[in-house]
Amino acid sequence: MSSDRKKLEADLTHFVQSRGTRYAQATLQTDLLETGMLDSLLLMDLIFHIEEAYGVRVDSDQVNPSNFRTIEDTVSFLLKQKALPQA
Amino acid sequence: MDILLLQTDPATEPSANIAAGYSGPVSATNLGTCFSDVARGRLNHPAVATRASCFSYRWIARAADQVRRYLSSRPKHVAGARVALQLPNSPEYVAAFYGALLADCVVVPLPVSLEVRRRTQILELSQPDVLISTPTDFNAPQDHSAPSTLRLAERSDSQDSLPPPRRKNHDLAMLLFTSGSMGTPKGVMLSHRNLLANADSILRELPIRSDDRALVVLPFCHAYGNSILQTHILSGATLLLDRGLAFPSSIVESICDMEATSFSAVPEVYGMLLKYGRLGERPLPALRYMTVAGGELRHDLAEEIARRIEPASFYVMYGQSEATARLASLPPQQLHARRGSIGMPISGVELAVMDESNRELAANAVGMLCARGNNVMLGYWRDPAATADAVGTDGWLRTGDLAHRDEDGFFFLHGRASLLVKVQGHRVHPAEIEGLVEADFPQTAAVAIPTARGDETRFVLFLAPRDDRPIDVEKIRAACQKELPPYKQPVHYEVIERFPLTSGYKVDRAALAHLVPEISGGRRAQPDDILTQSP
Repeated sequence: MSSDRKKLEADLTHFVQSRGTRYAQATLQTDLLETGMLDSLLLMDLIFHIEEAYGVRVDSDQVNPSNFRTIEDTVSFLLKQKALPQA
Repeated sequence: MDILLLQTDPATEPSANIAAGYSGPVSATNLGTCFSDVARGRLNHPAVATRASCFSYRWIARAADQVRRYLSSRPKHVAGARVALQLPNSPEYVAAFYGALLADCVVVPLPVSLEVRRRTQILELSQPDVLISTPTDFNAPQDHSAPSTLRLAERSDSQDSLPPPRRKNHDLAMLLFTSGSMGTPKGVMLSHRNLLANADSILRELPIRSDDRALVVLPFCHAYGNSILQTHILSGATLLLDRGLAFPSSIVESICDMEATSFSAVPEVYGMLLKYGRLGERPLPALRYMTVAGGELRHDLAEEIARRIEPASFYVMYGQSEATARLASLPPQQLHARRGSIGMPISGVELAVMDESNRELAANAVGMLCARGNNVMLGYWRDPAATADAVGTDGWLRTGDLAHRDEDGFFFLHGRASLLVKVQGHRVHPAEIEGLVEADFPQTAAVAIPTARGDETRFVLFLAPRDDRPIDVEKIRAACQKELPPYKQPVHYEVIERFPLTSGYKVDRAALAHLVPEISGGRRAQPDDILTQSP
């Protein structure tokens, strides 16, 4: 596993877990939708964090469950985006 | 406090006959009785529908009857006893709500994810006899008794009919806890008449019909969500619930797939719908209207929503918990001409702009927006001083919002008179954040300043030392993350040597607000930030 992936996994897991006791159990594979952890506020905060910390622009058609259902999904999405040249 | 957990048996078939019990006269003075009357006429119509299942009015009425019987048969049962609901938007919530009213109880709805500290405060203030939840949502308070379980809508043999509920009109029906002007929870006392009057006003304003299907994202425990619940149930219409509505694109999909005829949300959700939801790209033939309330939606965004959902209409509305829910509405055809207006008072409501001596001001003068009508609360729970501040002896409610009225009678807001801010429709006072930090870290002074982030309002927390000890920001951040719900958590922490002071030696919040853009990344929303992404 690349060190890039590991770093992103650690950062995003910390980001989600640190939102409060309800989120403390979240792991890479936790289904954030099924568990009700992912609400519009967390989604907005995640997008803001990704855009700020990694300079990745998130487009409207990318804001969907396949990229944000689990932390792992978001990491994979982020790695794919980072590999592309940014406008 | 007793605990009651509701369990729904998915295999339950609705029986042919409604459970006995609603033998009372048709009455428009008790909300629970009104629900029963509507349910009797709409037995097989869906009251609550998800993608997977449908809960008819018969199902809800029978479940409400079970809750009612459980509550009224408790040995200590007294009229006016509080019943706390810790339930998400669900058929169980609807059944528990009306069941409690039919049992002559007072409903105290609690958000499912309410932080422990806040919940403890609310439970101590309201002293409910029973807390109703479900096995999944139940989060045990300290020293609770062993929960009882009620299996909802099981086939039951005919039971004795119950006498009609005794509480009505001005009797307390619901305690809606909100953030008061000092940051402590305040219980807005709503009577049967308040709830019925506001539902009636909204029904005269919005084109709600009995065949409507409203997609609900607003929590029922919130004033705005509660008004969606009441107006649709009293119309015999259907409430649509769906999962995954955190995604703007899922909202649009649900409106389309579930054939929703209406949708209501707070401004932040509309911001997301425009930015990420591709609203307007696919036709929504069933949709007739959308409404926004619970905060100010930027005018250009309101116009953009209206354009994208055509021929459906877009209603900008205004209200507050102290007025049950809604006070004003802007007719959709006036949206363009009355830029930034919250509209005119809805039927049964009077609005006026007043000065500090409660004298009505002329058109265009800015003052306190005041409201009067049968929807104005009874007062704050066990807080006569706060009640007297908010509602005058003449019945005028001081909303706390500054406003002016134009010559044609349209009202326009000019911000809050107090420090309260709206975050995703939740009223938050900076003291709720400051108080937590100062209680846990007495050597640190804290001031929370609202900041615009994208189209949202969030908080930046300024920290200043009270003595020589250094401030441990990470510890403070961890405490906030542990104890505050996400929408109250500061998005940035900034240590400064000392706070700027006003000439009156109070913390100069305006001066701190000027520091916010430079330190929080400076990514303030540009006016065309969202509109440049138009499809």
